[in-house]
Amino acid sequence: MATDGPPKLAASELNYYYGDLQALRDVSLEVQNNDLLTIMGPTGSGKTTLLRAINRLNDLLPRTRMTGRVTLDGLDLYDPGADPAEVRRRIGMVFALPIPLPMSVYDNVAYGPRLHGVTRKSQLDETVEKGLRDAILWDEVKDRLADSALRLSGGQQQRLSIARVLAVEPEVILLDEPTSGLDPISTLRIEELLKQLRERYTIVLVTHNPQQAARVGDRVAFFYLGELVEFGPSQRVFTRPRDRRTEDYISGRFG
Amino acid sequence: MNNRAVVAHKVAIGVLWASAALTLGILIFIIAYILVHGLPVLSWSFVTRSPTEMGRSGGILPTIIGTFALTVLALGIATPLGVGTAIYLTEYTRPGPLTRVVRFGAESLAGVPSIIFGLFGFMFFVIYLGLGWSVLSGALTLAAMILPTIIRTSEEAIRAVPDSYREISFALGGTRWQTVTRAILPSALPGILTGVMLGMGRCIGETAAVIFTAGATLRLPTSIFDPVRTMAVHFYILAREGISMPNAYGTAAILVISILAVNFVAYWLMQRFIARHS
Repeated sequence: MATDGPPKLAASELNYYYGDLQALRDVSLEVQNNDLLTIMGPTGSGKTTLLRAINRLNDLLPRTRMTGRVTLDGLDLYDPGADPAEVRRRIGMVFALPIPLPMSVYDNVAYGPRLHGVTRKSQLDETVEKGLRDAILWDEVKDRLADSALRLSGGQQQRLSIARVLAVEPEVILLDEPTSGLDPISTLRIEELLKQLRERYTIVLVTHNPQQAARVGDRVAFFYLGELVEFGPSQRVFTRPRDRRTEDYISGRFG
Repeated sequence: MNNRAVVAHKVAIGVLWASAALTLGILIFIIAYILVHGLPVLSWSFVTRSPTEMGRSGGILPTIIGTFALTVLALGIATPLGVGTAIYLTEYTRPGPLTRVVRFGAESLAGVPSIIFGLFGFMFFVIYLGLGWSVLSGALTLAAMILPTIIRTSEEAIRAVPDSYREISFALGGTRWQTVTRAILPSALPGILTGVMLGMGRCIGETAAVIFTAGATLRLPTSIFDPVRTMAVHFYILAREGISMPNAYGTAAILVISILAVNFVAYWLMQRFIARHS
């Protein structure tokens, strides 16, 4: 569990709009260094929007508008001087569906480092092996690095997505419902992997599954209709929720 | 009533089968007809020597070189322009009036008969720019002619690349250009190549636009500023002026064989590429 100090990642008074639709309402949230925050909430609660606003992926969408601030180590990520590509490198993102790029296992993991100018074979080899080891995938794929990544199983593909992110050495990792398309055993492996990774990274995990939030998160945030309803240490939120809506959600009354 | 449905089903299968068979049959008949009449004329000297007596005897070397030079140069001009336009339309602009105008322009151009392009090329490249009848004028004209096809097919190929590939690339800190060159183009390449192959086929077979802009000389070209005659034009002149039907068929046979060969090679390369990337 992280100690209190200046937050690694913070959002303050964040409002987000898709056209006329408001997806986030006055969200303020802090994540400490090496913390694992889980964000839970039903579909449409703004979880994914928050992630995509944090690493500026939503910049790519037309007709969106944001007010408020997002900071990493106290620096405004939306400052006119901030380079969105660099923001995205420092804040990695794992998507809901395990999608490999249509290339080999090796090239998938090397894709990021190559974007950032790594060309030496020995260095790439090292980065790829380290990424795959950290994603607990190395032993399963070390003999077929040149095979197409499309031939891996769903669970392997999702760990490959994580290895791909780890290979660019991010400081924060965002995961958007990374187990929603996986079977229970693959889900368990990803959760174990997350517990290992939080030793070295600051992690934000979005899930629509309160049980998963209870299993892996240090802290948990509950979102409902774009609002941050409740935020606190997992144990407290799950045993003594302060808001009626949180209680209804974790007890399975809706969502 | 069931009986009628069965009959309708059988008739439908028969009609569909007949359409497919007829289509394939016509294609095979045309190729076979040309090869039967053309192959007896073919020899090593036919493809390595220049024509004599206006093509009544001798080989067709200058027309092979002319076709090759025109096609390669036209594709060399049209491919980067067309693919570049397609990338711009799909990746760098949001759909709006500009993209609609460019797309409408490209579609209109695709429907213009080639002789109109020939006339334009003659007046603009040959006369106004003073390039004369030359490989360059011809290639520029053909490039303008096939540009819409390349733009349209490239655009569709690029649009068909899943958005998730773009997001993965951007999320890893890629710039837009890196995303285009490393994630999008490799996936879109087979589709783009299809458009380029279609364009190539039109270049190789074109006569009207070429006569107007590249001329019809039988001399061996030494630079892109020299006029040339292509195989298609040679075939047309030999047959129309009644110079030599056997040599006309011989030229047509070489033409058909080269188009088939290029298509096979492109298909083979594409299969290898796809096998490596999926």
